[in-house]
Amino acid sequence: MSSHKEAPGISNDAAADNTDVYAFVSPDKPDTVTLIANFVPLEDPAGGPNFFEFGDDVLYEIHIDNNGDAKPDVTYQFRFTTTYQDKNTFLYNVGPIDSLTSPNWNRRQFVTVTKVVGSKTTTLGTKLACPPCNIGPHSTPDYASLAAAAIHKLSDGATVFAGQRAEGFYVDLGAIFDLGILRPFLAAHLAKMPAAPGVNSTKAVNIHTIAIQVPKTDLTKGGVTPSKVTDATSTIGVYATASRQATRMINGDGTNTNTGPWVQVSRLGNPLVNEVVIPISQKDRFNATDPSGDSQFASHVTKPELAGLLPVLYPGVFPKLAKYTKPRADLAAILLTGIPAGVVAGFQNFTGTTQADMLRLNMAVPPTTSKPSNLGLIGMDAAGFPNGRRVFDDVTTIELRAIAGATLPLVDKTYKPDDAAGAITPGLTSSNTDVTADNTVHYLSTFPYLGTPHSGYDTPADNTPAPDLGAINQPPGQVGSVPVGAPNTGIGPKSDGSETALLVGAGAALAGAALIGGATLRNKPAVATPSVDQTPSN
Amino acid sequence: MTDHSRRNFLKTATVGAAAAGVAVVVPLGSGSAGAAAPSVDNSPTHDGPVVAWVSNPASGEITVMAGEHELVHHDAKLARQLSQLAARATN
Repeated sequence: MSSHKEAPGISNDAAADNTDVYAFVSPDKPDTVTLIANFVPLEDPAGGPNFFEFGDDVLYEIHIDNNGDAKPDVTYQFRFTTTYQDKNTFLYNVGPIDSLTSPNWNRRQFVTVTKVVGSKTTTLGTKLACPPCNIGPHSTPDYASLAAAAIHKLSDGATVFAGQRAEGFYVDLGAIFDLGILRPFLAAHLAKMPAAPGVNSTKAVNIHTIAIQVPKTDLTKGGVTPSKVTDATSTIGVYATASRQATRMINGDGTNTNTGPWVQVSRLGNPLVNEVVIPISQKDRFNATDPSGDSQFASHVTKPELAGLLPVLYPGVFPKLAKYTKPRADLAAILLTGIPAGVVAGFQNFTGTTQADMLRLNMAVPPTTSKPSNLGLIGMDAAGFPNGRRVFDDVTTIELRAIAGATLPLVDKTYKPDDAAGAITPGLTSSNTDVTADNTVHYLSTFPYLGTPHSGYDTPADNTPAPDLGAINQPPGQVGSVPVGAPNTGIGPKSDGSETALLVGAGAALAGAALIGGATLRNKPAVATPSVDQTPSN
Repeated sequence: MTDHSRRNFLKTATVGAAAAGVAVVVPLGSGSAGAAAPSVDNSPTHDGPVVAWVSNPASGEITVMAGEHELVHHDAKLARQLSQLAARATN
């Protein structure tokens, strides 16, 4: 997964487990950036009576580096407090919750938001109500209204939401962790089984989201407006952390006493780095390390284990990758420094030579409002990963293809990728313009962009959108359920020319497996000239 | 951390060790003391819970935590005393 239970230590600490980080220019408010950090992995929506929540004893932070040293220049802190209405019931609620002040809602959570810039700390909002979990039609009959009421304006003009959402990250966990299986290409795998469509393991689970939408100028060095893609000040580095106090005394009466300074136990910048790049013995240390110290992990990025496994797991499919022995400068650029100018025409998100696992967002790149590519930059859409990350970006496919060598020609002109490098996918999207992959029908067109959570009553395994899906921030009766840029759920245009297999059904999947044999795939560089609506200035 | 607050922590850790809410965590190890001397005086005490962490008693290093803060104090004699208490606790 992106970073769900990615390390032994944090896998036992769900409340502090940072699962995904997103950073993107808000498509409906392009003078702002939306920052999202998700926690509490794989929430079974029916998991009551003590439903999921943030940790009152966890310090959640979203950090922004705007000068390239991989150290926070702006930090948003989030602390939670939980209260009871009635200590004498075991119930989460004793009747329908029709508002955030409903007396029927027993266990409530509130968030306090603080902004830290240098030595200055400013409280932006105190004890702002979070929504309840989506329990079911009798307990939370109008969930979207509850969620909408939990969107708060902060004292500096930013907007915040903290609460449950539908998981937006899609991945075939069952396959990828079963010896690296990509179901559409099973016929080419060592297992030699029939190809099959991908299975979205996270389609019916929820997550806890902290989302904040801030003016771009709140994040840039000197408060400048990011107007030119080529300006260094246009790019920020973003990562999130969760910290716990150094000691916890278990008092023996059901209470704990936490004492000491905050110690980082989870952090996340780019998806999947700690998950599939960092060795298991170093994962917890990685979580405890600041990004500015990431040079110690750089060898795992430039010599990724997975690049060595692909040719073994898929014999004969990645012969060129198997022979490549040089450090992967392409992966170092994508994951550790940002992409320098001159590598991808008209684009850069380079933050300097300091190697650090951060999402890097060039805020001068405008949002793609028509047919965004879920493949982001390698899908010719410079508004998506690895230029920041949008909720619908297919980061698993992007990183799989990058590791398989699809992005290597960008920095090593002598390298010709294996045919399969530009085609492999878990098979959860029908094309690179499909932003509705299985569970992603829950996306919203407006803040906080991640959709109405699945209700406990309707799950497990029901991916039917909640009846009020899209009502958040929408006029009553109007449904708006997908991101700006209408989805293409069928066979969409392939602007990069690298998508040849449309992996929707078993038949198509079988075709994909055949394609991976190299007969018909076009072998074009993964990235040419992306659609940046702005030419660089010199 | 100012000297004033360091003294607060130290006094709490030494004088207030038997008070309610004080937790002392001392790993087992050598009890040999270093040369650092304690500097307890009459400065104010911390009223809340205090944790003293001695990762290696031989080093004389004591990390004292209260609230969301900590200080590292070097006191060979105190570290030795705490390790002696730890030895009692395990017997």
